[in-house]
Amino acid sequence: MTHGDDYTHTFKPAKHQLAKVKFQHYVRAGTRTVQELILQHKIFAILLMLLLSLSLFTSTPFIPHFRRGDPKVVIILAANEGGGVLKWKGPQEWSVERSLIANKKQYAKRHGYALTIKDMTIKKRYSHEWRESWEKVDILKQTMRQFPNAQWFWWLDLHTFIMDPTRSLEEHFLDDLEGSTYRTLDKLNPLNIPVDIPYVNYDNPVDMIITQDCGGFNLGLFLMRRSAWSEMLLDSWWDPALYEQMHMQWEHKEQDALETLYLTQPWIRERVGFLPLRMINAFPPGACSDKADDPQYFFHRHDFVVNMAGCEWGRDCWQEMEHYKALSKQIYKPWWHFW
Amino acid sequence: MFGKEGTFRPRYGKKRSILPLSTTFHNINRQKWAKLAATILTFVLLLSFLNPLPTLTRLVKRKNAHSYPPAHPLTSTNAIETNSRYIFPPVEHALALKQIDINELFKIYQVRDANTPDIEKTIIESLNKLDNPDPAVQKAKEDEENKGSEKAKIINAFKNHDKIVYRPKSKTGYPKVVVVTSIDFQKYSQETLVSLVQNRVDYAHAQNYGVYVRWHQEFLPVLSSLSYLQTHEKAKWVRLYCMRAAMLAFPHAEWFWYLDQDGLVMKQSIDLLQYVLNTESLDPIMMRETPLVPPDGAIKTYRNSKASTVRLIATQSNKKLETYSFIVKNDDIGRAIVNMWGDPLYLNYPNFHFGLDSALTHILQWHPFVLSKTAIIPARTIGARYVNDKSKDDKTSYFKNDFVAQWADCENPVTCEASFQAAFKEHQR
Repeated sequence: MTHGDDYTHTFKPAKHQLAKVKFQHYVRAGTRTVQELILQHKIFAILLMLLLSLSLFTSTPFIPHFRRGDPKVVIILAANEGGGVLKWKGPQEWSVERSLIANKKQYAKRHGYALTIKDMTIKKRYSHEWRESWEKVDILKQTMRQFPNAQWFWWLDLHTFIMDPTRSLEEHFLDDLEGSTYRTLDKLNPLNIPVDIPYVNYDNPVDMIITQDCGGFNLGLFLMRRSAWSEMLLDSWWDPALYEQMHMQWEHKEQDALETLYLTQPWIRERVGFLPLRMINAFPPGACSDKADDPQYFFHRHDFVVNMAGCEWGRDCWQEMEHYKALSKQIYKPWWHFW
Repeated sequence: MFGKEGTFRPRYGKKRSILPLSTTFHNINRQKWAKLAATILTFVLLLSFLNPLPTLTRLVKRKNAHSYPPAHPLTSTNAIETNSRYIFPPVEHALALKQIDINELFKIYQVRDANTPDIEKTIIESLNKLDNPDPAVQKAKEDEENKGSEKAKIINAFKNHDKIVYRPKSKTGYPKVVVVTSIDFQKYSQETLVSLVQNRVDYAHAQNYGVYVRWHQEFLPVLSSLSYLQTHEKAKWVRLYCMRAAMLAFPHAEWFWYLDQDGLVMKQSIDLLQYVLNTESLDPIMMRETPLVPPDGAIKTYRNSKASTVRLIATQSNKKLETYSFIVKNDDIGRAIVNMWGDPLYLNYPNFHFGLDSALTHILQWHPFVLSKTAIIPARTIGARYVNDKSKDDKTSYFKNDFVAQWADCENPVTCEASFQAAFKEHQR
């Protein structure tokens, strides 16, 4: 190898800097500017960092929260039940509906859940006697398709009010499902369902969470996890052969059908967990009138959700709702709110 | 001089100095406090961001450990464990069982329901319901009875057979496939029953599978009607309930193959796993876009169903879906399908003219989820029909070297026995 061929004695500065060098230069300059800026506005920078971490890692109110990924829980709110063709809504009913929707919206926003409001007006395709008000299953299936990455689907009837907006479902019971649910009916069994049937294996995880009120299962409010099991349950919930034999007894449609399935089919029992009614579905006085002296069904201060089921029959929805709204505000008003 | 403490200290407080302290002297102390406060604040902030509290409390909190009863057999909460892979009843009792009155094998009584007072319901209860809750006491009692009379021994063996489950000492060599059969001592002679069970045990032994055989009559408590066993179509339900019991007895097997008593494994060298069950072997033989009700039913199997997701494998005759030979995968969904299929409302539904077969057709027609997990395979793989040479057809009839021969459509014990003899002779050859 000889020197000289490429070697020139005259010094020429490189016209074009290497890209790498240029890049390094810019990065260095950029970092220096940022450092200087931070040093100049120390307090501002600290505040900014604080805000960012609050926004990213906590669910503090009044701060925009950036969340990556899709929500884990989807709240399905069944609105407008029985509305549409049958009657006109009065102004009070509109007001009730607006407040109840706002309540769920706030809750969902605060904890990063998704909220989907499903219209339950009587649709023509369900107008056949056989499928009347069996929309729950279809709506659940539809929502599961709509939110392909969500894990839990929380069904809420319209006339429910989330009293404690600060409690997330995770800390309330989802993080300790086994501990908070009960799976055999030996303690509370209003329907007198046989407690023990053969072939039931309780080693399986809970995929559906429901409550029992004084009249049996309550499907005004329940949760379902996405799984092959729930897909199969949603598929087999309505069956023409069962329906044909049972529809005279099944006054509450899906609810009674689920009770029948629970009664006879071990695979249903394996993944249904029950929560105490007051934990997510407390009743106001006036509901469940035949068990009015049993405190396990009725709302106490600091219960999570109140379900004003049946308030449209003989009770005043608007008054009830205003009462609980005021109560919730009183209990859970943050200390720094003076108004 | 430097080693001594306190020598170089400015004088303040009580030891007043004549010289004034520097104006920023106390800032040293103030900064110390500020630093401490900042550290604590940062720590608290960090804690609240990382939020270890729920995790910690969960660790500390005693788990609200509910304990639930384990899965148990149909008629008893106690199980009898065995380490034999071949579970079958004492077939030598067949003749004696035939002579024992059904009221001695079960507790049978009639009740009226308040909701439907005009209908009298028959309740058939297993004698296991009268057992002492303590299995040791019960065993001692039965041993005493068994010594006394041969009849008590037979009755006790009959009632206890439901409790037997397979619990090996180690999981190595756990059977991957279990052959399930229910046998009827009213239908076949004792010698025939022995040959039928022997045929399954031989096959299981050759392939390292398990065997689960039950008496037909043991499932009377589920059927809760004595007449069901006498009707050909209703008696088919026993197949499903026997399958359900087998799934409890062998909880870790992968597949369960129900082969009706009206059938024989003709070619013992065929490994069912290789032949049908592996994804590679199942995929090409799954009949896709085939009407459930031949020849032109409206609902067809899916075009794009995958072999890896199949939980239920059944065959078709020329007229309908058949259940004399079907296979279920042992997982959550497979068990759920068996559970759902066995619902008492299906069992008692008067419009299911072919009993279990109609129920399956119904489920597949109305429940797309189950249909997507089901494969229909050619009848000659696991259920070739054994007929005399005149009425043979290529699709469903048995030909030499086929895996299985079955004659489940035989009408009465005499013709069934005749078909068995013919098939058995061919098998022996």
